[in-house]
Amino acid sequence: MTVVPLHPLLEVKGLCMYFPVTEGLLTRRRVGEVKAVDGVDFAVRRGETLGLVGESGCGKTTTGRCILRLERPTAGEIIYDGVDLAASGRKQLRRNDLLALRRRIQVIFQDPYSSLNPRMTVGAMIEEPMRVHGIEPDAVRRGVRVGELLSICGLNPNFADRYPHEMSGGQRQRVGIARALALNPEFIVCDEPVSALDVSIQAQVINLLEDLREQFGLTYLFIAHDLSVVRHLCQRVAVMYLGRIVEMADSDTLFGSPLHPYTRALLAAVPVPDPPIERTRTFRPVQGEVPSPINPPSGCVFHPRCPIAVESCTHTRHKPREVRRGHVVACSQIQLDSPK
Amino acid sequence: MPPLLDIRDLHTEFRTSAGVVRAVDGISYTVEAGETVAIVGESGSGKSVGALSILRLIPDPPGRITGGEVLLSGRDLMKLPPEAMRRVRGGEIGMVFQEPMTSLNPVLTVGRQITEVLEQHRGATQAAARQRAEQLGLVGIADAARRLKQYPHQLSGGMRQRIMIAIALTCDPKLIIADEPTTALDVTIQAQILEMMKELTRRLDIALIIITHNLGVVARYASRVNVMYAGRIVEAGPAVAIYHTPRHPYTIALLRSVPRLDLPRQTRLDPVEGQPPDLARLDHGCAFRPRCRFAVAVCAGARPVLTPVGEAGHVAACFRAHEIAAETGDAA
Repeated sequence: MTVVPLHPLLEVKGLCMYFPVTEGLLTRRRVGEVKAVDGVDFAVRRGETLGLVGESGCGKTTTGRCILRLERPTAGEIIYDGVDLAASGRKQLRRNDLLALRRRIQVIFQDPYSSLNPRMTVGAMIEEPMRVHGIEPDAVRRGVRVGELLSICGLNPNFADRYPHEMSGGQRQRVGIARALALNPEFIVCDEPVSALDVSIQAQVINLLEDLREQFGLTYLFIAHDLSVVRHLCQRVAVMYLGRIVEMADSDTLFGSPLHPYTRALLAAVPVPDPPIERTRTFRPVQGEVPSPINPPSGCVFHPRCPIAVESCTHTRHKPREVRRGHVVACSQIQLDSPK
Repeated sequence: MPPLLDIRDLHTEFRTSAGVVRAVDGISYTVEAGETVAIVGESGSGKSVGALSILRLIPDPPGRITGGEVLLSGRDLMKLPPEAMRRVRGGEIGMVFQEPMTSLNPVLTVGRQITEVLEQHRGATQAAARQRAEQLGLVGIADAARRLKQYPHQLSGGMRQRIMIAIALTCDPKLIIADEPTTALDVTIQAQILEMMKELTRRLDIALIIITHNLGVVARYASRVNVMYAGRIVEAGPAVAIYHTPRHPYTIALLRSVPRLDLPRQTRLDPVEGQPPDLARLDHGCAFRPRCRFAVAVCAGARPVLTPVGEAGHVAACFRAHEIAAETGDAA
C-alpha cells in the first residue's frame, strides 16, 4: 500500500462557473446565466485517478477547464499544491506563477482532429510547450526529446516530420499525449481522451495512459461519459448532473453499490455485450431529458426525473453528505440501511 | 417465401487520388420481415457505405456501385429506374441517420419535414398530411402540436432523433435502416431511443438494420449480427453465437478490447494491436492479417471466404476458424 499524503494535490471547493446569456445584436443585454458548474467540491490525491462522469452539459468539461484556468471561475477555490488558482483581487496569481503552474498541469483533449494544428508538423507541436516555457533552449536537444516522447507514446520517432492529416485518429491522440508530457507535468486533465476513437484503438490508448501514469507517477483527472472506461481506469469517481456532484465514492463502491438514483439510472442504461443477459434484463430507462442549465429545476436538480423523489426534493437542495467513509451522496432519500 | 431484403455480392467503389477504394467488397446478407439485424464495424469498415448502397445514395462520382443485387421482396433495387427508386426511399424503406442535426433541414419546421414525406409518397394534401403528422405521440413526443411548429435547433438531440424516427415511420415502411442512431446521444437518452425503436418495430412489424460500432448496443436488440472489416463481412450469425462463441479473430479481439461493467475489473485491457488498414493498399491476403495474433503463412495468399462454423447460420471468414474454435472453446 502506498502512503496517502495528508494534503491532496488538488482541492476544489465550492467551484461555480456561470456563463452569461445575452440577448440583442448590438447592445448585448445580459438576460440570465448558464450555471455550468454550481458549487462543486472534490479533492484529488497525488498519484490517484479521479473520474468525473456525467452526460453532456453536466459541467464536467467546464470543471476541467477551470482547473486549467482556461476559464476564470465565478466563485470557489481551486487549490493546487497549496496555491489557489482561482484567487482574484490582491491574492490573484501573477502571470509568472500561473505559467509555472501550467508547467505542472497539462491537458489531453477529446478530439484529436481539432486539437492539433493542421499546419504544424508533429515535431513542432510537441516542441512548442518547451519553447514557450523556455525548457531545453537547445534545438538539437529539443529534437532528441521529441523523439523520446514519441517513442514513449508508441510512435516511431520519424513521425516528427509528419502533419496531422497523415495520421489516423489513434496516432493523433498519441501525439496529443506526447505534447502533454513534454513539460514533465505531474497532473493531467484528460478530457474524454478516448471517446473519439474506434473501439479497437480505445483500448490501446487506455493502456498507454495507464503505463504513463505508472512510469511518471502522474495524477489524472479523467473526464468521460463512458462508464465502463471510467471504472477501468479510475480509483475514485464523481458523478455530475447539471453542474453538481450527486455522488462520489471509490470506484468499486460506486459501481458495486451506487446509491444516488441518478447514478443508478446511468449505470442501468449502459448496455452489456451479452445477448441473454441483455434480453432478460428488465429495465425502464429513466424518463425525460436533462433540463436546461439556464433554468434548472428548484431544489434537487434531478427531482423531475427521479423515481424516488418526495415533496421536499422540489424545494430543498440536498447538500452532499458522507453516508459512509469516502462515499458522498447528495440525496435525502438514501439511508444506508435500506435494501439496495 | 423469399426474405424481405436479400443483398447479394454487393460492391461499391470510390475513386480517390490514392487509388480505387473498395469500400464495400462483396457483401451478402438477408433480412427477414420484422427482424432486427445488426451491422457492426469500425470507421472505414464499409458499414455505412453498405447501407447507403442499398438505397443507392452513393454520390457518383467519386463513388459507384459496381456490382451485386439488392432484392427487396424479390425486386432488384439496383435495376429500378430513378423515379421508382425515389418511391422506395422514405416509402418502403425508412432511414434514420446518425447526426439528427445535419440530416434534418434547419430552415423547415419539424411538421413541414414530416408532411413533405407524405406529399412526396402519398400525394396527400397538406391538411390531410398534417393530421397524420400529429401522430408524433408514436415516438414519445408529448405536446405534438407545439413541436410540429418548431425548428430542429429548438429541440434537444434526443428529440431530434425521435423526429427522424417519426419521419422514417411516416409511410409505413417494411424496413428501417438506422445508421448509428444513438452514437451522438447520452446513455440515458440512448436507452430511451433504443427501447422505443424496439417496441415500435415489434408492434408495427418493421424490419430493422441497425448499424453500429458498439457491440453492447445491439446485444439487446439484434437477432443476427454481421461483423464487417475492411469492406467485407468477416463473421455473421445469430447474436448469441457471435457474442458467446466468436470464431473470427477480429470479433474475438473486438469483444475482448472493451471494458465491461458486468464483469470484474480487468487489470489490463487486451487491445487489437496496430491500425485499421488503408483500403487503397490492400493486398491479396486477409485484410486483418497484420493485426491478427493467429495469422500464419496461408493468410497472405488469399482472402478467406465465409464458411460455416458451428451452429446453423454462423459463418466466419478465417482459414483457422476451426482451430480457433478448438483453442478458445466457448469461453472466448
